Amino acid sequence: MAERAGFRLQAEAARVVPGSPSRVALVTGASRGYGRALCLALAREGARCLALIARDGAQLEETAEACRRLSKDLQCEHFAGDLGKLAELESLLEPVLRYLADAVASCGGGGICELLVLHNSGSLGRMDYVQNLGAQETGAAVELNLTGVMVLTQALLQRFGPCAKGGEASLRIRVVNISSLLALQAMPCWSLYATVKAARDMYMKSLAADAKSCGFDVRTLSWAPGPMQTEMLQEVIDTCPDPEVRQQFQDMQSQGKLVEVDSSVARSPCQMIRSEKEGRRALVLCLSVWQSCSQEPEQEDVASGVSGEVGASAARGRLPAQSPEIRRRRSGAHIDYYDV
Amino acid sequence: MAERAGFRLQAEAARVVPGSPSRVALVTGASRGYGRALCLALAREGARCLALIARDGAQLEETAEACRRLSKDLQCEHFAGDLGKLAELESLLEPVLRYLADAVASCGGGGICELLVLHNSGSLGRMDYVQNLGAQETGAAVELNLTGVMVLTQALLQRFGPCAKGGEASLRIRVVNISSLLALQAMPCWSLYATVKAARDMYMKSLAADAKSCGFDVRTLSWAPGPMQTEMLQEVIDTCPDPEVRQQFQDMQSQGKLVEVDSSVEPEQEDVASGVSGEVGASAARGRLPEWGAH
Repeated sequence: MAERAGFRLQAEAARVVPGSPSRVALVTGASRGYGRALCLALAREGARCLALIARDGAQLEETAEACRRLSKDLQCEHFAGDLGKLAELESLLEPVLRYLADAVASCGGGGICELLVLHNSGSLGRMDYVQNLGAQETGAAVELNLTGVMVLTQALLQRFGPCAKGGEASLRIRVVNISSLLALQAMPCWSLYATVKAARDMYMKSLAADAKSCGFDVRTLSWAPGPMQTEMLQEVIDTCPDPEVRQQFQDMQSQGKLVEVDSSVARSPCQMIRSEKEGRRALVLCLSVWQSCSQEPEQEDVASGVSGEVGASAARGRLPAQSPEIRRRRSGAHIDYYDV
Repeated sequence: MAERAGFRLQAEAARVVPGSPSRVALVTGASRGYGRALCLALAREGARCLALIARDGAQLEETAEACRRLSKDLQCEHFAGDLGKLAELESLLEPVLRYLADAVASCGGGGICELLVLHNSGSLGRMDYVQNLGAQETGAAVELNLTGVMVLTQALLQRFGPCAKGGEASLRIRVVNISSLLALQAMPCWSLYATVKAARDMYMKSLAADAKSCGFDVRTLSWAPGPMQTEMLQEVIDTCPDPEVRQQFQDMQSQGKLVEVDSSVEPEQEDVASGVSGEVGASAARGRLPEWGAH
């Protein structure tokens, strides 16, 4: 398939080649949209085992079926439940943890087993100005998008952290947080979403710091795929009270500037996290086309100058250079490389 | 008198001089530590009215008394309750909003009235590695340090936002989020605290963006005062399981590098709060208000 502008990582590291890790993956929000696209990508890339979580059991089953069709050897199971209901989270996660544990145990064979966690489940909260938001919806948005992610991560680390001590232990843990430009930059009516996204980015850095101290082979990536054509984006257009913001998204849509969820750019976090070779434990990468620019379509594409750099580095086999500051690019993309 | 740690904006704008705003302030976590110091500073600087929130009613009352002693004209009321109990938040806030509304209404006199909100209440959560943290304590830490702050802010904006439309309306709203270096940089065993602090910083930016769109005169400041000698810092030293982090804080303490909550902070003697606080501190020291930017 045609490569999307700038994201040549796939060409390098993603395919199952001898010596590459056996991948056991957990994807939340796996029933549709970006989550489903990620599942299909993982199946296509030769994952050994997939655990899918979302609320809609029927859509989950469809996703699972589609994954199995792509890969005969794939083990795939879905678990329907609401990750925003903290009181029920423990019982929802119990069979998930067991399933993952069995998969990890059966990896064996002397090679590395990779437990890949994709925190993709999320909601917009409600798009409105601060003064119009209520306590109930605020609590719910925070519980689903932040607290639930923390609790799930804690449960996984409790169960699998000690197995990821490197050496012969042969388990490594990779955690991807599906993030957003909103984690770095506020916009009117986005307070619920921006706040939890910023929180998650920091949580990933914290996780990496803790894991480093404990000697666990854990790395994290906060990945902002840019504005994608999904039901969530349609919700922005349909419900945002701020006329400027609404117009901005409508324009992106009508001008064909949205990212397709099944494009290689969108699917890249899985490959990115596999191909990293250096000691970067916590990465935050954000692609955006938020600011209009008059550059050529390739440069203006979601995979702007930033990802071009990433792509170029990967082609050369090196990760981009570390910088503790947030660097703003002319195209409006932001990178924050953070070494823990 | 000694200025409060880093908070020299009082020196510039808070003194009651003709033309300066009448200040109505809400301080959370006002019963002790930095919150109490902030209250005393506000009283000293001539605030018109203070509303104090914390859980410990007795300590709140002491703080209120101390404030009244500093300023005879000060109106001061305390409201005991737990800002982390979302189910009870509405009933806790109802009298607070009424009290603030009365104070704002009585500002009058043709000058600017400033509603200053100091989100100081907070907890460390528990200091431990991610794999050792439980669901209950995680939820509680997030509710108190983040959700509660959001709900309180929303209630204030709902009540006072439309009054802050500039022009002759004469109400301006200033919101300070007591932040931390941990909002910008992770450290082992700090996941609960760092996560909520990062969230709050973004929430302040979001609030500013919304207010700007709505034409409300609201500005926000996320202020990291640096490591202060408080009970919270002692808790870090006493409970942090990570030996390096614990050592780091113990060293700061034994080497006298902690900030006294009631001391002044020279911009040069910057501590972990680094660039953010330095910028604010420097701006205030030079006699200018910190940039209450809309980010």
